[in-house]
Amino acid sequence: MSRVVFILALLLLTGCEQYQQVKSGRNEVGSFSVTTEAPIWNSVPSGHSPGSLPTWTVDGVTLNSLSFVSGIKDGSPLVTVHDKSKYPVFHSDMLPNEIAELVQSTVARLFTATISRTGELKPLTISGQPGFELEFEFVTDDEVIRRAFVGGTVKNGELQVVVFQAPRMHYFEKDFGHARDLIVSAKLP
Amino acid sequence: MSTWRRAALAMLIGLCPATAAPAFDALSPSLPTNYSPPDGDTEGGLWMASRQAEEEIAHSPRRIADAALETYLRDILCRLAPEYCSQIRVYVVRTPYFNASMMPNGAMQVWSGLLIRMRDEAQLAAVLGHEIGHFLRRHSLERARDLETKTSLLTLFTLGLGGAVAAGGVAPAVAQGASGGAQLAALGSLFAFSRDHEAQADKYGVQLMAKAGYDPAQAAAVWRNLVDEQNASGEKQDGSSYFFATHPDPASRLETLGGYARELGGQQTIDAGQAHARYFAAVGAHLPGFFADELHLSQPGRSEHLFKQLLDAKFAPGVVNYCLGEVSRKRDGGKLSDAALAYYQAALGYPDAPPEAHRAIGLWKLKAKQLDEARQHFTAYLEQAPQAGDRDMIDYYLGLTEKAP
Repeated sequence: MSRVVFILALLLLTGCEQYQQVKSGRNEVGSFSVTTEAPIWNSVPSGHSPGSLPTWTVDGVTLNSLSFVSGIKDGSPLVTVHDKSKYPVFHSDMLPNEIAELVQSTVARLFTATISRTGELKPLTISGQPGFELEFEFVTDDEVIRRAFVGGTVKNGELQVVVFQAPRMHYFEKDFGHARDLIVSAKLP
Repeated sequence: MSTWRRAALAMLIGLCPATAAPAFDALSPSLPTNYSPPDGDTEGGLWMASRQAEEEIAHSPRRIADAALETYLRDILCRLAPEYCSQIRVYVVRTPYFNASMMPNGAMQVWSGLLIRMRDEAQLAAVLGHEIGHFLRRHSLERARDLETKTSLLTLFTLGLGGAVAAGGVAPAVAQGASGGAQLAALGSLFAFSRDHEAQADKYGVQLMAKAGYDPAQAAAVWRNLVDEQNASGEKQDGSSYFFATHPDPASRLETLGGYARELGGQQTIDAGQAHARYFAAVGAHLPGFFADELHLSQPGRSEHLFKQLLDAKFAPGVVNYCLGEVSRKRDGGKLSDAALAYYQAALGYPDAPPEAHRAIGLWKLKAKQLDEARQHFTAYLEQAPQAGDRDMIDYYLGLTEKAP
């Protein structure tokens, strides 16, 4: 009996560590409810995702990732990491410029990257809430220039952000349209 | 000092000539000029690997392709080692940590985090002199040969103990401990060897900078600045790192570098004012970007110490005051802080104040609901930075200042 329980537990754990295709239509990820038109995304096991964030990818996390940062409360960093003291924290009275800087500093530390272009910051309405969209570029340790598109808002004092990032060469443009549509149409409770 | 004491001192000096400063035992290069090693041997392999690494650096997206800055750094290297000038190439890499390194083939990379930690050209010459010291003494080759030997010894030692255990001569736990200890000792000796190289490069660097006419005391000043910054950071030194550290310990290094400077002092011929101006002219345009990288590291203790030192050195005061405001704001958790506001306002008093100082005050005033002032600063920001990437967002904030009663 105990052997059966052990094998079942093992199977369950193994199942948790697998990439799984995300079905088309509406999906719940963290606080977000998002719609995917094409079945291109795969959910990434938490142990393989940047900052242990709920993350989707098309071709693997080194080539593209869509990370959902949801329900960040005042005084918390954006990522779940061992040494949180190294990461800047969110404050509920932050303005979009400050959140943009918070996201970039988090990315710089998480990927051991240098922000090579600050890019554009514009207003964006997400789920009926005033929010922002941000685009910037960073260079990672593997000497690849990556581009990121971020959409976010603060609702009920909690930060809700989605980050799409991919190498600037080919991969960013390849799936940016899908990622942007998903972010812009995201719903929050 | 009393006449008696002066006389006693004179007598002591007369009786004890050994107490005078020892003569500096100068180092000489082991690398021939215009040298290129034959292919196939250890050094040829090192040079081949260096050429590949250089190729990667040359095409790295982090490389700052500023010919004037590279020429400026190369000119310093050529001043330090004129006979080797034709063999030296310099690449500046945008990485926000203190580092410079020279490959065996004469290619040097200098990181941006180093450039913002230099106060003047003499300090830069001290670091470049240290690196060129490694180059002229062919330390990479010595290290590679030593590694070859020690790796073989280590393998033999481990295999020997393994054989003893198999033969039942040594208890496995004892063998494991002995083997582990031996490996640690061998690793320690590898790094100790490297520490010898570092100490020699320190000495050679001071020798070269003094000969070139720089103030040799600035070599110790560089190290003192780094130690102060480390202390200000509040970060604890990793207890295990000393054993594996490749550099001599800070206290003895400071003392040794200071001793070299005293032995070599009095030869300064390079005008410090002109050198400072040259340094600033070469690096100045890049400072806002380099400082932004430092701010992204989210290390307020370290950054605040660095920027305060730069402020004391009257280094780009507008930009540095703005950065101190940013550090202060981040340290206070992004809350409204009088200290941060004071730095932003101080920045605006200098001609090199970045437009972002207006933006920072605008954001502060918007949060404090001081809308007229917020509007003034946002407007000033957009006037000074009409191509700003956040223009649409600032327009949105301006809308907020107008809607309010």
